[in-house]
Amino acid sequence: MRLSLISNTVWVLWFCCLSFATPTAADPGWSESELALLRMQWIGSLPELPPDPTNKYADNPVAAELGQKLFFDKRLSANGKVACASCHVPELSFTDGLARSKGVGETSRSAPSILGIAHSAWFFWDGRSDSLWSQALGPLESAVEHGGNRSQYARIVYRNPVYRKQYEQLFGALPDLSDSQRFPENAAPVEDEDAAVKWQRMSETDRKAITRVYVNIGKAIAAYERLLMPGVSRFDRYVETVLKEGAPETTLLSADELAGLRLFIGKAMCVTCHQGPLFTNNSFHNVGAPDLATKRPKYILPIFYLFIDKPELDTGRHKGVQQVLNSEFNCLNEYSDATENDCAELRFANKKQKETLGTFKVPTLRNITKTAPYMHEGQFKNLTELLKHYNAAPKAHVGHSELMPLNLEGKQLMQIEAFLHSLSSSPDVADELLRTPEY
Amino acid sequence: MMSRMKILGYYLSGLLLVTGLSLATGVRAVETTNATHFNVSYKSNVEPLPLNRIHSWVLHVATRDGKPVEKATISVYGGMPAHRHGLPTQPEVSEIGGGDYLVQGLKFSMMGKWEMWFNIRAGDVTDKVKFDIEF
Repeated sequence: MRLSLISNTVWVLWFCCLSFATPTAADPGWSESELALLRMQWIGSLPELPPDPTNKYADNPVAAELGQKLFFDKRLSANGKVACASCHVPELSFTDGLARSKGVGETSRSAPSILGIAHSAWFFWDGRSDSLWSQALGPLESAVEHGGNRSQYARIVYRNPVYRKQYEQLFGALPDLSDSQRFPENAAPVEDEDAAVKWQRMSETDRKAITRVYVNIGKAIAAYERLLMPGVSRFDRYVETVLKEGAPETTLLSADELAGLRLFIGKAMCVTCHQGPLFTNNSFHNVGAPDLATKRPKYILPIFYLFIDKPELDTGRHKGVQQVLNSEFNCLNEYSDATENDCAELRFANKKQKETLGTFKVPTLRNITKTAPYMHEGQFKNLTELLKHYNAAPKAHVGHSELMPLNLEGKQLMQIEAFLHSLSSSPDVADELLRTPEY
Repeated sequence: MMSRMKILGYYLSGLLLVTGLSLATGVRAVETTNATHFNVSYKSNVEPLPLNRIHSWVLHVATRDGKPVEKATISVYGGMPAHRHGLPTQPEVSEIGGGDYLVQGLKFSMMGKWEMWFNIRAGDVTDKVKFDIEF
């Protein structure tokens, strides 16, 4: 009797082992290590938003309220037609659907999604900013993005009673900008020669007063952007069910999506860089994306192309790390609220030219179906093209690629693509935060 | 009886397989040093070793007979050979005393196998130590 009980127990346990290892459409039989990876990618594993010591207004609700208004305000541009939201469109997961984003001119990069961006230590494709607020300031003075200048923006806040009231509530009194001799309408260290000359003529105290307002505009925008987080996707609901119920009978993911997920965390090795609940390690890698700006057009013979003026090669982080180290707005600078101990990312940033050449920041894959075209210059129009690139792992145009050929079959690439569709979700944000606020 | 033993054998094999897989999750750090002069060990200020987070180690350097090695010059490098890239940061090493050295600015940004190398020079003796780490 006792022997029979033991035998039955063994059978039951063995059956459990067998059922654990036999994949079916509803139960793909995840191993313990695969389950650990699924949990790691699950939105439920997203840690609490880390504090931003560089911005003491980062979690201030009034700052976020002001920041939202500024984010959607087209007056913050040279032609009154460009807002942050022009390239970071909420409906497109805060991208714009363009290979090269357009402001007052054309940029050289595709606007990345900013959902969940506050979890990153580096900003822009090349990490040339080390805080969210300093990132927000870059496009505002870029000649091809907003095209304006800090004096102009300070004056917008100064003249608008709603902005002024909220600004002064947060940051204290604005400087008196009524004297346009002391404070010209357009003055800043920008490409525009007239504005640059006027900026040089201002006293250092006045330049700092204007820059302080400009920085506070960035800090308010950052406070708003910190609220923008991705919501729960079908993938997350699937993982949650698996973690709670073991091997559920679920139709949350199709057989192809499940096969794609297994490849994503396995043979295709996507998870090595697209790791964590935001599907990015927020680090810099060279995946051998072609440099379209310097690529020879087919109609020009190679011999002639040698003599043509070409745009500067986009070296990514290689240039970005030098820019952030020299930035007037980096973590160690006077406009940052951080102490030196808070600036470890900047202090220990990899500055080795050979290792950073041609590396770009890994983007989030959440809502990837809404963020085409792909890569920093929109080099790939769709996911099919993108996955073919990863499968082939061509030699890098700049630096050396970290990819290795995956040798996946067409069907397997299609399955990964199917899986990526399961990462779509609405932002985990109240609707009123996704549009121009009324005021 | 034989068949019952066989079943038990299968069951134990299954159990071992599951246990083995569970060991494959998380981080593993193994010293595979080829150092000939020094015994080197490290302790991280964050345990287990974190992924994607800047942290520091205290490296302890001792002679083969256990005496702490002081005033050593230590350089650090590492990376992921399989992906042909180095560390995402440039860590710095400073001496604490008693054979301990503080290694600041370490970060492992990817899953997979990492190598951490330390070049240690003390007086006329130079040695190299490697730690294999897997996330």
